[in-house]
Amino acid sequence: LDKGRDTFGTTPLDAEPDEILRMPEDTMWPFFLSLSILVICYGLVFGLAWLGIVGAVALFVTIVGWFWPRPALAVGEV
Amino acid sequence: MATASNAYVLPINPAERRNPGWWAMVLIIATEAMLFAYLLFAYFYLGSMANTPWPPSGPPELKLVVPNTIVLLVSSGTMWWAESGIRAGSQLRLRIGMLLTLLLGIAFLVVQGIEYSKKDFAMQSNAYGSLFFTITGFHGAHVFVGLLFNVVVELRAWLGHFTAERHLAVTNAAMYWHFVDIVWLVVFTSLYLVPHVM
Repeated sequence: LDKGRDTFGTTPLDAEPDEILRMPEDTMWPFFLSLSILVICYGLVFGLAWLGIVGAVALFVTIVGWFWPRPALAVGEV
Repeated sequence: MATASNAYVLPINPAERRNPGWWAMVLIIATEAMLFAYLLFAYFYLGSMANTPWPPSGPPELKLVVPNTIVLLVSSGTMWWAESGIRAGSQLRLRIGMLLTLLLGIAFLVVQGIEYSKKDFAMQSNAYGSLFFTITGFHGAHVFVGLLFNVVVELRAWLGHFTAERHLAVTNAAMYWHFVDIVWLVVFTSLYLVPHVM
């Protein structure tokens, strides 16, 4: 646990550790996401449709960037 | 306390449980379903309280909306085909199925835009107009988001990210698309068919 961003997953009732969860690394994507939301809101408040569209495009790009898969974080799928 | 002699090894990100991402999509769908439930409740409530005919200008035309509904139903079929394809390990079925779904979804939005342009009332005309455009507009927005989702998953599919064992994003995209389709069936029945029979 001292070599990376890992944490325990535990059983729900007794909180016994039963798996290791690999957490994401530091990233700037959430900051850019909030900036794009700010741009959208600015466009909406001041009636600047073009700015709202720019913000929406930026929102899409930041969401895709943030959630683009990283193999090291792969969680088991069922 | 675990010592070197009795230390045990824990699995890293094991695969035995439903992925949290799957649960996230289920909860998103539940939330959005409630949104449409409230909107349709408002539609039927205001309709029941109206002193004038509801809809005010008579039942809406079905000429465009019936084929459009069929287009959306077929798109659910192609999405199912794509998802079942990757479950069987077929990259080609996944890619082609999702592409067809994308094209059919775009066609649905285009036809809905054409239908909007032919309406003789606007959102601010009356309560019916407000509800009609809000409900169908919200649904159209959900279709648009589903198409964006589809585009990203399509891109990942062409990059070879998915396998028969790992394709959660495809499952989530399919779940969302089927939800959008089911909502449209309810909206279509409520806003288009019911006025014709009542």
